[in-house]
Amino acid sequence: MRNIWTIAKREYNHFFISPIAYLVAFAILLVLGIIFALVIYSSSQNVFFGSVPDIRPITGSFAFLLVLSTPALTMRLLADENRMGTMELLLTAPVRDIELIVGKWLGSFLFMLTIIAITLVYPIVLNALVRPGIDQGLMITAYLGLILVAASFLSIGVGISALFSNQVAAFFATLAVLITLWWLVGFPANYVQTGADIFRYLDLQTHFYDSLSVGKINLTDLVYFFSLIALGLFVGTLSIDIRRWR
Amino acid sequence: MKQLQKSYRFLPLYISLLALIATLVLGTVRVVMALDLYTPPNPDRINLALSLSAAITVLGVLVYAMVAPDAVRSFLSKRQTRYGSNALVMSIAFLGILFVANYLAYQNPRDLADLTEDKQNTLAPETLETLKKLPAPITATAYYSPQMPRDSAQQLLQNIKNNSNGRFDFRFVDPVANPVEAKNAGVTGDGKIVLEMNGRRELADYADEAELLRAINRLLNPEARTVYFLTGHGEMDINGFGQTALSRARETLESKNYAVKTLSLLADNRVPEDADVVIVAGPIKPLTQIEVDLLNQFIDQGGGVVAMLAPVPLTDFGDQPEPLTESLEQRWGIRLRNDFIVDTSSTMPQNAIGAAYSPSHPITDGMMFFTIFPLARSIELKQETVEETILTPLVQTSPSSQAWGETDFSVLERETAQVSLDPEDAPGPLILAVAAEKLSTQGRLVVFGNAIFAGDEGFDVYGNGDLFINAVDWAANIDKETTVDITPRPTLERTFIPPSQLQWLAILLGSVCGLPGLVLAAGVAAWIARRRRG
Repeated sequence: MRNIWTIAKREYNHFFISPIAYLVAFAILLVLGIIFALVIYSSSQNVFFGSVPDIRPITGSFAFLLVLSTPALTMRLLADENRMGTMELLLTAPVRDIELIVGKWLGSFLFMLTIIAITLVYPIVLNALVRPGIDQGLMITAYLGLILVAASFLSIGVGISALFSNQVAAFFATLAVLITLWWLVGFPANYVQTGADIFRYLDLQTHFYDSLSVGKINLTDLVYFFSLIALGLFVGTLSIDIRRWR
Repeated sequence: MKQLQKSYRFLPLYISLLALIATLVLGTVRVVMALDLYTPPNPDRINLALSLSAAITVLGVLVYAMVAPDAVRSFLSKRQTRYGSNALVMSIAFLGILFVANYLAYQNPRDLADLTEDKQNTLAPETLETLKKLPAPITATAYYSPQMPRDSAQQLLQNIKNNSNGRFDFRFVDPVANPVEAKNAGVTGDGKIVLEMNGRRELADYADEAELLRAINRLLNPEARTVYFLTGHGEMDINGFGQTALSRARETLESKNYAVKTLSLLADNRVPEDADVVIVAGPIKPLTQIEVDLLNQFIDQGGGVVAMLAPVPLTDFGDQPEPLTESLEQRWGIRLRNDFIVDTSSTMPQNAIGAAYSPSHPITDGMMFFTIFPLARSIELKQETVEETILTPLVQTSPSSQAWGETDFSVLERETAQVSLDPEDAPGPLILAVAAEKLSTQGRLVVFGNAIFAGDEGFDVYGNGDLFINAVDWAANIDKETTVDITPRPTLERTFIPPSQLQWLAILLGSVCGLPGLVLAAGVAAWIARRRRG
């Protein structure tokens, strides 16, 4: 556990000297800032129609932005260690493979949590503009969903990063998997009779937008997200393990 | 010979490899077939070829193991093989665990919490109660083409399934791809849902909880009740639109298994045998004595009547005799005063607010909202004048508000008239609706001193619709449990306070420039610090 925390802290601190991490945070906050300003403007224009904004445009957009930004954050985590040859050093250190992977994932997750925490300023402002305040329960589940989506994506990113020694290859491979989970896998559900439920179940958007994003916590969604996290970490651990004896 | 054996010993492996490729290709075709994306002319041949290729794959490996046992032994004893097989077994076990966990979660979906303040994602208690009592499994078939968004329908049906204890299931069918199935189910449009139980079908026009509950109720209670709306005296129209129309009331009654018809007592000279309730909705002309006698006869035979009578100045009664109001007073002890209610607790004093309900009567025991009666007349009860009749004042104006029955109708014509409680006016609290039941015949009567509260413009206002529907249900003697409708969910009204110009500028600058700018500045500072450190 201590090893995990040591690696996580190291990775977390590393993000704060990485220009890519700042660029990712900047891009996310810029897009969300524009969306937030538009939401306020649109609600001000439609106030006579009873338009009351909530936090979903922000969390929903953030979840979508994670598809594009996560690969940039995770691509170097292990691929860079492979490229620079520091992986051999790590493998000889008294650290188990799982600790290494979980530590890397936790570091990136904490960094993403920091960005998510910054975005809490939006619900705080919204809360001040809505009487008697925004729906706090809805906000909690929407942010919980966002955290689970981020954790899943980062886990997949870490797992894929462990497979590559080239950051660009890791970036595009992660992006391809996330796009598949976000868009492509649910697509056939509308067109096939048999197996539509399976495609719908695999569709990550359904587990976020139809459940957590609307204020509902469902056991199925939790199992789905934790499975994705476990799968990503398992792939990463297995990849390191194979590297040991190959 | 040995040389030959050595040269060809890999042949079974090559064949096995080719068979494996064929197995993968055929397996993919089989999956495509299973998903109904493509059906080959001879699907059995695909299955046969798949089995054969899989068998050849295994056979090839086995033959190789027989031909070159040393090579196989050496391969198996290799370090990489050992670790590789360990990794393979671990992967299979891990994926197996994930599969089982997700399969179980999928098969037993469970909502752990609905954290929204208004419980927007929780089914209404009536729906949950109905689902608990389902006597047989219900299958819902949702006819949705790919063009029709199905997310909300999927969510609602899944929610119902989750709470049905395995008695409700659903599937989606594309009516464009399966026109015969859609036609057989009687579906003509997109987005319809057909519920089926014990071979009986009911159609829900759209994916909405109330609509689906009504369809389930129709499945559970196939016997329809009949409501007649009296016509011929300028009553409110059940097919029209506007304040004096009862389209919303009619639609709601129909969705609750009622057959809604009109009745002209003067023409038919009798109340039809299938009538459960006759509604007299705001006649402008007075009913004749013959009609009133027929209605009394109907009640004496156990029927139900709902009379909604507006203040006299809103009708063309003039000074003509009113057999209906006279009969109500003499036979039932219900006197409709010749006044209109002024309620000072209302922002519009001519709108009487029904604020006090009888807590013990089936019509009003579940009422959660106020009711609004625009221009209503007050009712006085004379219990002592009737026997074997239970009279219940259903709705009254608030005891704490100052309301009275204004008898000076001329104020209605003057826009700036001052009204006040005069000695001849009846003081509040005033009765707005009464229920009466004859103990001997079980005949039921509900009287309202107003009709337009149930009109299209008033039906959805607060509890107006519920009160009207509950009154009809009670008059029809229907057990409340079989006619449940969704109780409107109390929702917290939120209002958005638009920011001032200055606040808007601060929000714009803060969100678009401030936050991202701070992150960018921190990034630049970190970069400079890093360069300085070298």
